[in-house]
Amino acid sequence: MYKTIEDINKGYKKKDFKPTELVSEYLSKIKLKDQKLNSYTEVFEDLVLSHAQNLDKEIDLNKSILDSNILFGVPIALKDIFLVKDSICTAGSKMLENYVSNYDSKVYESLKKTSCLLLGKNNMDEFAMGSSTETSYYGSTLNPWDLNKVPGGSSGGSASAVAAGLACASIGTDTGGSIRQPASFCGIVGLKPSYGRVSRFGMIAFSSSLDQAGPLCRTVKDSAILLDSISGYDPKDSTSLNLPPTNCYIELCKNDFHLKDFTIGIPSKLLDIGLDEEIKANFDSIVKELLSNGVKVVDIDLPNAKYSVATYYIIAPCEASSNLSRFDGVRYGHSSNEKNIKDLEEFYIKNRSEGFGDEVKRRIMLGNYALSSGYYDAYYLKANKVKEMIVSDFTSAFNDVDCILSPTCPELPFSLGEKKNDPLKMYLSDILTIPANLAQLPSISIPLSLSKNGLPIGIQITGKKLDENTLLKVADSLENLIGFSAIPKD
Amino acid sequence: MPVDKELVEKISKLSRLNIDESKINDFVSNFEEILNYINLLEQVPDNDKQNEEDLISDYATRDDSVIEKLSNEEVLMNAKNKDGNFFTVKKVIDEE
Repeated sequence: MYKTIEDINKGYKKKDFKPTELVSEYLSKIKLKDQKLNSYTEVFEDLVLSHAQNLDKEIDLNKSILDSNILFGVPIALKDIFLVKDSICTAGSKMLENYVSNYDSKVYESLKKTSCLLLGKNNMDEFAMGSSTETSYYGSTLNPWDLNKVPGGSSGGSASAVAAGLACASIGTDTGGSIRQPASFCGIVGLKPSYGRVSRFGMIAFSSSLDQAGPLCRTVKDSAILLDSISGYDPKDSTSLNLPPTNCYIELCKNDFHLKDFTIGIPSKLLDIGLDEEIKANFDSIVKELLSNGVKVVDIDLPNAKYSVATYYIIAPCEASSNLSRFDGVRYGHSSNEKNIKDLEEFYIKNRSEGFGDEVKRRIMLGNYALSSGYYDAYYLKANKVKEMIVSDFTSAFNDVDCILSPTCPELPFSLGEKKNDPLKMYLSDILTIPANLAQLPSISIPLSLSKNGLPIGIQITGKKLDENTLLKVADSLENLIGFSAIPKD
Repeated sequence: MPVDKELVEKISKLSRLNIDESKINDFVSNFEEILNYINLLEQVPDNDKQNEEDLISDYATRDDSVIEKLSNEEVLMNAKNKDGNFFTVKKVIDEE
């Protein structure tokens, strides 16, 4: 059940299994394991089985469909932030407990065209605000490597499901690390594309200038396949870039590149923030291995990256406070059952106070504070100025290197409840992932090793804006060099 | 402005949110801690060359034309309170 997209495509071609057989296997495993893991908010059991039956017939009629379409019949999941017409989309919130989508997100529309199979929707931090999937109204998701640890967040349900073999892949979203950090915590691959690569249409908004969708999956090649299928221009998203879909998978399959072709930068000063000792040791040893393999590794400086977390926790809450003002309980969303509501304002307050959890309330309030009269220049404008300085830091660094390497997270997966009541501590754990969001860069986390206690450690590679091709070539080469193949114990 | 209960209540009102009395103190201390941290940006010297328009407004616009739309039924399907083709809310105009 730990098949890659490529494995599944080969299996169908060799008639090792049919879509119905494969999907049934995934569904039984979900039944067996997900009561504990809680990685799904909804499983589309009947729908996906009937879809798979149709695909069985299609393969019988035309086997060549498997050559032209590698995602055909691949069972995947979606973070519960993407709208799928006629099904509930909760965004991990009580606010949207009964919200039925009346159109498809662009991401799902693109995936549908590939005839992949949608197993269900994955649990997530409420409105993608969190780094542990503990803020979900639908309960915490657990880490399949150790059920006492968090899977990371906010795409923690996606990461946990893929790591446990409950989906071949999942599409998540990343605003400050929400694909890469859970991928790292769960020992899988997570790719955040360049901002504007993938349409945000029908993806519930958190921080519009930073949110970006991307895959969580088992290999770098799988991430390329999924990126190629979900990227491309969408006029319905005004920040979507007018570019054709990526063509990364074919480029990777050419196999005409080597790690020695690339120069890799290490932001040493930024890594002085106090990395976990095991992470530091494991990171240092892969850097040594690169050097001994003749790879060019140079030190780079990102002098303003240390301000990333502060910058992010102004910009993201400001945009969230505006985006989440649409949830008033009138047109959709939670509507209070209380009888004695005197006026419309009280109705809004009741709906929003009952519908949102504490972390969402905290961020809406932070945003409204930072945007309130007299504070705009000091906070939102200042944060955007610093953001531009961080962009310039990266531009200078990329004059000398092809990509930047660091650990994905400064720490190992932490225990459930450990940081739940300390929001600032939770925010600070995003220090290594946030800079790529602020600078709109593509960035990927791949598994590096396991800690002494068997917890995954991830390594992050960040590339030049819109150069996913080079990024994935480096990531693919590193993946081969590392040779990580561990899976969580059943 | 000091971060205290009064400030948190003011911001929650602006946000159309009500914070449980039992949680107010936690919100105050978290708010204070987070604001202290983000005030780190005060250390960063201002760059006069950066102006607001360049920073905030690089979005594309589109023609103001109807492309496709949801039906009335679809638009209303998630509303709890509706009447015919309308959403219904509490009366907002006072009677004379």
